[in-house]
Amino acid sequence: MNVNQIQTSLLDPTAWDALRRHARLWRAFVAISLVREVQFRANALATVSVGLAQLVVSLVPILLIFSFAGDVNGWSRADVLVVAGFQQAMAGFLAAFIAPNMQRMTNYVTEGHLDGLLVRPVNAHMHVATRWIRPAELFSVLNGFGLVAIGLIQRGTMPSFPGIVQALVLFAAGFVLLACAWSVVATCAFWTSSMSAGSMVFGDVMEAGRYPVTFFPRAIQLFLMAVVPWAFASTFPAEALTHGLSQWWTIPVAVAFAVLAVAGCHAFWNVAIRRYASASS
Amino acid sequence: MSLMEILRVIRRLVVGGIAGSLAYPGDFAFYMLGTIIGPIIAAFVWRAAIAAGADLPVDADYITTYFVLLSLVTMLASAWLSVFMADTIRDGRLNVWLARPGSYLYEIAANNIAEKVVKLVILMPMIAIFAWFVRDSLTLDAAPWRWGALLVSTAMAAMIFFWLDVAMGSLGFWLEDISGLEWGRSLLTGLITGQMIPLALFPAWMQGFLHVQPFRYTVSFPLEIVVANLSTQEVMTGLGVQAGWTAVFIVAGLSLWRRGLRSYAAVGA
Repeated sequence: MNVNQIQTSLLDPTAWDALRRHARLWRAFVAISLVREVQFRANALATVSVGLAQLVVSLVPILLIFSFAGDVNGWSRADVLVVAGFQQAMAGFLAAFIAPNMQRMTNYVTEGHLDGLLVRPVNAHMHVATRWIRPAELFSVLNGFGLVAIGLIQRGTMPSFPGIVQALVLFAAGFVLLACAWSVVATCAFWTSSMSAGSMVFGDVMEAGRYPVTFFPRAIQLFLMAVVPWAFASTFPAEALTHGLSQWWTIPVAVAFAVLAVAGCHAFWNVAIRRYASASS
Repeated sequence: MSLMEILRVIRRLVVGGIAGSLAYPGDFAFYMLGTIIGPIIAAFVWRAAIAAGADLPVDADYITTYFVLLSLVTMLASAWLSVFMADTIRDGRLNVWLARPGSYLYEIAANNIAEKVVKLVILMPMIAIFAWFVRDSLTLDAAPWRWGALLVSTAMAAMIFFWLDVAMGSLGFWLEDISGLEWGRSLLTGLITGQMIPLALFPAWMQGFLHVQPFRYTVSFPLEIVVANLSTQEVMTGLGVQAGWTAVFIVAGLSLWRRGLRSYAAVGA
């Protein structure tokens, strides 16, 4: 049992206490990030503008493709706009809650900043993964859901209530899966000493989430379902809203994957942290 | 300094740059993976559209060959120095170079060449794997002179991007932060260079503008030489126009750099 574990066991007699204390801590992170965002208003405004411009530019290929084709592999332009909307919303969530933390991982490891975190009476993995938040990026989430609405309006059909619930469950599972995948990539910094470029590649793969997975060959479909699971974050929620899920087991599989991913990601962190020898000592 | 002396300085700096780059092979592998992922995604999406019966102005061979060669041409033509250059100016690190006989521009040119050498070695196997997966509609049997013209055109494209970056970086003499401008530039050029979508796929009403604007000559035109089967006259005319744009960007970059140097007040002075 290390210092961190002894401290936390004294502070939290039960798991419920630990959960409540960490929830209070996360609320404090959110409050600090909001204060910071208000302080740097110009930067927040730039972030909002960047998100909007990126969304407009990213729609150009979709609009061009469907100027030549009525539908592609059973997906119409309106359907693909729904997929792109979910992708944009997910990209916004990741940029707000995950990216600012994963991008700091290399510095934590190589510059020894992790020393200070490890002696605090909090779960170090939770702290490293959630400490930094960029609220302005949530504007992209609004853009994304706006695009989902536009796609549904163009389609001319109202999604059913079960369809909406299924889409939200899949979207939430997709967020957890992508966050865990990114966390595993960033945690490799304990071995490679630099994973900044790896995080950049994770961002590049994000582009694939803008299109239904059936646009890609089987190998890439598997990659987008099992390795960097964008299918759960954009294609499957869009499918639930537009066509209805073709496979009933998609939701239980997504939830089970998400639970396993959290457990696997935390186990990987625990293995990685044992390699940490502090950069400052 | 004479031309031979300048070339000797740049050669030394390139050798040093390669040695420095080799210290981070993992990072460079990831960077190159990032370079090729975009074209892979785009290639498969457009191929899916063609397979679904999309009536494109180009065929599957064009799309496939274009996107397989895209990451290579993009990497060889690219420059990434404007933000670093503006930082160097703002922080006062430029002072060191002003006291040396060689210009700071030699350093950034050498860095550009050195990193491209390392990147080329890493990127080629990735392109080969991508090409193998799409070999069914990959057409690389263009005449040798077209490949030669592609090389010449890519070299000029690299000059355009390099001097555009020098011009953008030189704005650091007057502006606190150029990252916003740089971001706007990358968003715009991503669209109108042909990096995101082959220019041939844009609507007919945009083709006139897309053909005359300079950014066509940084990515799209070099690729068109091999994949679009341009006539000899079209290639020669295109190379001539590209040479003209290259000269314009060199003059613009050099002018801004020299004007900026005259107004430079070093940090700490």
